Formats: sequence, C-alpha cells, structure tokens
Amino acid sequence: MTGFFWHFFIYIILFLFLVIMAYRILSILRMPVHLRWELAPVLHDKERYRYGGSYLEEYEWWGKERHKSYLPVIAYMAGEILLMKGVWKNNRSLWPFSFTLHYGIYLVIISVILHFINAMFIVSGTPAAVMDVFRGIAAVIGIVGYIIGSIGAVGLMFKRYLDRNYRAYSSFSAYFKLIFLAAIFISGIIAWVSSVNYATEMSVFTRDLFTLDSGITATGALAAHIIITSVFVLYLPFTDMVHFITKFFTYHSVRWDDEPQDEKMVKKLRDLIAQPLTWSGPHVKSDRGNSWGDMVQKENGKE
Amino acid sequence: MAKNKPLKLTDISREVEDRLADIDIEELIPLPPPYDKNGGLPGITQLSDDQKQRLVNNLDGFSALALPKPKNKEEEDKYVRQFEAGLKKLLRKGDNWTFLQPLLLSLEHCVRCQTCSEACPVYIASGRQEIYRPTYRAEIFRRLINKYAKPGGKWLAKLKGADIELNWATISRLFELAYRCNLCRRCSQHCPIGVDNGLITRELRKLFSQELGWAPKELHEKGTVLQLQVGSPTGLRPNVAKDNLEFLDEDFTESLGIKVETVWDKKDADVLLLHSAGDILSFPESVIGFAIICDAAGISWTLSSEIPGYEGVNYGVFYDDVQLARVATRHVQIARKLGVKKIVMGECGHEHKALATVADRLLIGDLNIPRESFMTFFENIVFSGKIKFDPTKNDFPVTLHDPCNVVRNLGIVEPQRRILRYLCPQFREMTPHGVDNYCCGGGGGLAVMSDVNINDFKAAVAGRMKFKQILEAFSDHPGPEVKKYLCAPCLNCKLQLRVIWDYYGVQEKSGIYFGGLAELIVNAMADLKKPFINWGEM
Repeated sequence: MTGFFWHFFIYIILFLFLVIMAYRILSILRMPVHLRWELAPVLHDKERYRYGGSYLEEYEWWGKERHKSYLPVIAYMAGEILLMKGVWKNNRSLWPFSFTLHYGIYLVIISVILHFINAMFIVSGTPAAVMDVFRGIAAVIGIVGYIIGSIGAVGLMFKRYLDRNYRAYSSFSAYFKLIFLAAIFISGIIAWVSSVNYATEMSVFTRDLFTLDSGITATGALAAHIIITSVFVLYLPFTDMVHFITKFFTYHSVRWDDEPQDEKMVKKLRDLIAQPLTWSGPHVKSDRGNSWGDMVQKENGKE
Repeated sequence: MAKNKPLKLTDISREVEDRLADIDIEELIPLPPPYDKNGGLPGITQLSDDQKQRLVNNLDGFSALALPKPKNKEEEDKYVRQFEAGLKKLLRKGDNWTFLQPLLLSLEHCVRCQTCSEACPVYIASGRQEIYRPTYRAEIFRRLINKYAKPGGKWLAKLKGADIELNWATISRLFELAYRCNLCRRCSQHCPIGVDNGLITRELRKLFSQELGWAPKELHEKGTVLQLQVGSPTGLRPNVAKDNLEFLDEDFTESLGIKVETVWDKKDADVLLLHSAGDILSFPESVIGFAIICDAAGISWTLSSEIPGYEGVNYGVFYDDVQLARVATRHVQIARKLGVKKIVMGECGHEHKALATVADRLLIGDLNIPRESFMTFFENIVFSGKIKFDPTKNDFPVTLHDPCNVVRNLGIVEPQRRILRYLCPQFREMTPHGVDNYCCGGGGGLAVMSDVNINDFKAAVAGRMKFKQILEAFSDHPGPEVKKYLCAPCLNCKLQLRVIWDYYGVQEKSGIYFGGLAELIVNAMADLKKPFINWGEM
C-alpha cells in the first residue's frame, strides 16, 4: 500500500488513541473526592516508608510538620516498571512471561523512537555513519523486542489456558488481548526477517509519515505488521492494559492518598454532602429527601 | 457436592440448593503440634435439618447471616431487581461519591494475574478453596457491574465471554461470600496494579445493606442501630456502663492497693478516651489499665456517658457508609460538647480506621476534632519519664499481633513496638509482622458475628494463619508450663482470639494468654506493688 492511505490510517488512529486516553484520564480526574482508603506502606512518608509507618505515628500529629520524599516513590515505581518487582516477589511463576511481555513492549516502543530519530537524521542529512549506528541499534532492539514479546505473549496465553489458577478467570477478551499482542510481535519478526534492511525501511516509512510524503510505501509483511500494531493502539484504551497510566491513580489517588482534609477539600466535600441519598435500604431514609448533610448533621446520628 | 471440582465463575448462579464447596478440615493447612491431629478438635458443625430447611445454604456449608429462604419466586425477583438497582447506584456520583473513584479504578484495571491470591490468609488456610480466592467474588462482582450497570453491558458481556446471570442464587451466594473476607487488604497490598479486592468486597456488602437492607444482624440491628439507640452493640446503657466501671474501680482499688477512679463527663478535659464497651464487659483490665496510666501520668482525661460516647466501635466501616457516618459524627459531636482537646482512640482497630481516616472527610468544619491513637498516646507517656517502670516484671515471653486496621491501614507500626521492646525483655516478633501481618480472622466484622456455625469458620479457617504464626512465635516454649503473653491491642482481635482459644483449648495446651497493651504497661509500673496481669483470671 502506498500514498495517503498510511497518513490517514495512522494519524486517525493516533488521534483517536489520544482522545480516548485523554477522556479516560479526565474521567478519573473529575471523579469526586472520596473517603480516605490508604494502605501502608505509603511511600512518600520520608523516614517511615521503609517499614510502612505513617505520620499517624507522631504524637499529636496534627501539630507536626509532615516530611515527604518522592525518591522512594520514584524508586518503587521504577522497580515496578523496569523489574516487575511486585510480581517477582509475590507471583514468581508468572514473572518470566510477564517480564518478557512487558520488555517486548518496551523494546518495540524504544525501536519506534529510534526509527523516528533516524527519520529526523535522514531529513537533516546526518552523515551515513551516524545513521548506520542508530539503524543498527534500532534493528537489534526491534528484533529482540519482537522475540521476547512473543515469548511473553504466547507464554501467558498457555499459562492462562493450562493453569487452573487462571483458566476460570480468563474470558475470551483476555485471550484476545494476548493473541493481539502476539500478532504484533510475530508479524514484527516476519517483517524483520523478510526485509533486506528492516531498520532502513522503517526509518524511511517514518520519515514519509512525518513529512506527509505521498510516496510513502509499505508492503507485504511490513504493511501487515504496521496495520496490526496500529489497530492495537486503537484497541488499547478500551482494555485493562491502560494500567500503564491508571496505575498512577490506583497508587497516588487511593493507596497513597493520606491527605487529611484541608480548606480546598472541605469546599468540595460540602457540595458532595449536599447531594441527596437515593439508596433504598430502610435505615437510609432516603424517602425523606435526606441529603448526606441532613443525615450526618441534622439527624445527629439518631435513628 | 462440589468438593475438589474445578469451580467456574458462572457456578455462582447455578441451581439454588447446590453448595459450591464443602470444607473438609483435613484439607486445611496443617498446624504445629499439638494441634496437628484434627481428630482431637471440634471439627465443623453441620447445619441442622431445621436450619437447612429454613436458611439459605448454598455456598460452603457455613452460615454467617442466617438468610431465610424467600417465600416465592416473586420475592426472589424483587431482591434481584433491588440488587441490580444497587449495582447502578454504586456507579453514580451522587449515591457513591464516597468510594466511586477507588471502586472504578479497582473494577476496571485488574489483569487477573492472581498475585493477590497467595496473600490471602483465608484462601491459603482453606487449602486454596476457589470460593475464598480474593478474585473469585471480585471478578463475579466486576462482571455483574459490567453487564448490568453499564450501557451495552449485556451485549458486551456476551462478546467478551464474561457473562454471569444475575438471579436469586447469585445474590444469595454473594451475600454470604461477602462475609468470608476479613477486609484485611493484604491482597490489595500485594497487587502490582493497585487493585483493591478488599474494597470491592466492602462495596458489595454496602450494596446489600444500603439498597436491600441486608446486613449481618450483629453489625446492623444489634450493631450500629443499637449503638445509636442505646449506646452500644453490647446493649450496655450509659447508667449500666457507669455502674460496671464503678464496681471495677472498687474491685481493682482493693486488689491493687492503689486508688483507681474512672472519670466521667469531665468538661474541658484534655482527652476523651473512647474505649469499646466490649472491653468493659469482656476485658476490663484494659479499661482499668488506661485509667491507671492516665492518672499516673497526670493526664486530664474523661470518659463520656452520653450515647454512644463510651462505645468507640463503628461497624459501619465494615458494611455501610451511612451508618459509618452516623456513628463517627456522634462520636465527635460528643467530644465537641465536652470541650475536650482531642479524642484518644482506645484499643480497637476499626475504631481507629473509622475515626482516623475513613470518616476524616465526613467530619468537616467544627466536627474536625483532633483524633489520636492510643499507641502514640501511650508511647508519649511511657517515654516521658512521668512513670517509673521495672521491665523485669514483664519477664515472660511476649509477642505482638498487629491489628490490620491500625497497622496495615493506618501505618501505625513502631510506637507499640518501642514500648514492648522497652518493657518486655522477652519480646519477640511473629513472622510475618508489621504491615505484612496476617489478620486474626475476625476482621471485617467477623469477630462479632456468631450466627449458626460461623464461629467454626472463624476458628478453623479464617483465624488459622494467625493461630499458626502465634504458635510459631512461641515455639521455644510450646507447652503450658511457661506462661506466654500475646499482646493483641484490639477488642475485635481479642474477641476472635477467644473463639480460637475456645476451639483449640490453647490456654490449657500451650499456656498462651492474650490481652492488650495497657495491661503490659501497668504490669511494668515500678510503684505497683502487686502484679496487674493475673494469669489465673485471664
């Protein structure tokens, strides 16, 4: 396939991906303040995070200055993202496949970034020797990513199907997701193997994509790989795989959200408490048109 | 009988009378001697024919809730419709602003990696019974929400192959299953994504309570409702509470040879002590211990005799946001009326969780009175130099149980340890401990639930991991000849331990006694001529 098909196809998918992801993130951000539900260890507690302690260990904590540090938070997140430490520690048999799948994805993303850099090199007329080095790195990273990603995706598929701990919980969509990922990696291997110079082809394709060159071309295995990957990018925001973003919120907005009420929060809370309750349980007494405020303040808790 | 058969998620909605699992005591994880031979233990009480006739009994052979069977299909359908309405309300900002964000984050991002399973003491202790796996109830609930509470859910459920039917069998099983979890959140702690199956379970309980009016009677009618009406789920009315403590004051004054006096309703005191009334009835040494420590340290303190100011429990935290808010509000209103500077939360884990964190964003404006744990309060006193201590008085093996609601949920880990390391020469930790601890098995309200045969579940299954680690902590003195002290600074944990102790005969076989932290502090006071810990009366 050649010409503007690729531009339309890829840019529309990228646009939709960004819009849907933004919508999902905004939906989370716009949710109301919730009641506190923190869980130790809260890692921004500067001194105490090592053993799971919190500022509530301070005598008359409300009169003390809080000491926060984001270094342990960053170290924890880095350990999770780069090493899957939680899975390593608590679910060792899953780790090899989870790790290889995630690293497959990371390496493919890095290779895409390198293709983009190479495309910029081509446009800017960078010496061939420099481009060769980057293309070589991109080619190696790409194929390693495809291979280990395939191992991870296929391995997880088998684990889901063969291990009774997973099988009952694996719906069609769970397998579909892994099949899709495996398709990206395996099509990538085929494209890489069947191409004379995969990295160069990808770099040129990327350049043509960004320069809106009507001569943009990808055929055969490479075209199939690009199409599968692009469709996956569109599918991704509709799945639980968005945990690469939402994990930030499960940790920072819930597990580590240990902020006592403050003035700004109280303003929001007053609005929330003014809302009516519509639950039908007899003790809620929503038939009286009670709001949270009525229930908490006016009733004085008396039945 | 479904024992040992692989269980599917869709089994939750299968034919009503069919149990999903039968718990065989031989399949549970083994305990150290002398509890390794199940033959000498009580086993699991089976439901009587009459109970089987009257009560829903389609989960695991236990009944925590004594849910009566519906009279007819119309009644079943009514409950199913109510449940479906409740699913939708859980996703509405107005109805569920309290937990909407945490709930949706947990519902939408689980990747079913099962990392949480091996963290769950109930699942592990049961010999890995599928129904107790943290993701079993959570995944069913997630699929029901997706199918019945979201646009296009029914169509998508079929497409995704995640279709579970909502019928009477489903909701009656889910109701019981919601009370096979201790809400200890150990599973949540282990989740690499940050999904919280404990929260999902609590939201399920909340739906039943706030929409259908279904809750364990010990938590609701005889729990929060009774507490708000008469003062305490124990039924203890203010005048009776005062009488009881007056008697205890006299009794301890006589036995210890020092003046013990409980202060009631003192205006403008520095501290309102908020005990659990259950301690007054079942573990009075704890309440008296607080009085002795406060007086010795020269603290200006008081108890309240206003309903429910002498009862710190808040079962709402286990099952219902509305009741949680009502009870917490009453507590701080009483403190405000007395004009105290702060509330000190007594030895009760969920009281801590309710007042210190969960209700924090409900107690706004002039309801926001400072609230502090007894752990930090005691630590400040013990290391202030106001009281002289003689740690040799506590020279017996001591270990510490970490109440989940104080330790894992609030991060109060070290103050109690600093006290124990100072006052108890033979203090030793359990493995694991601190924020990695195991629940006592009574968490999530189970400690006070005793209907039908649920005590057997609490002792044989839910509390098994805790019992095992207690025995291991004292493995250097396994027999009854050396008296050992398990410090369990939480009323509900102590109530659960009492169930375990009665079931296994722990005191007689192993010589392990349990009590709170206050008792150990008072026992180590140098000026006290007689021992405060009286092994013969524990």
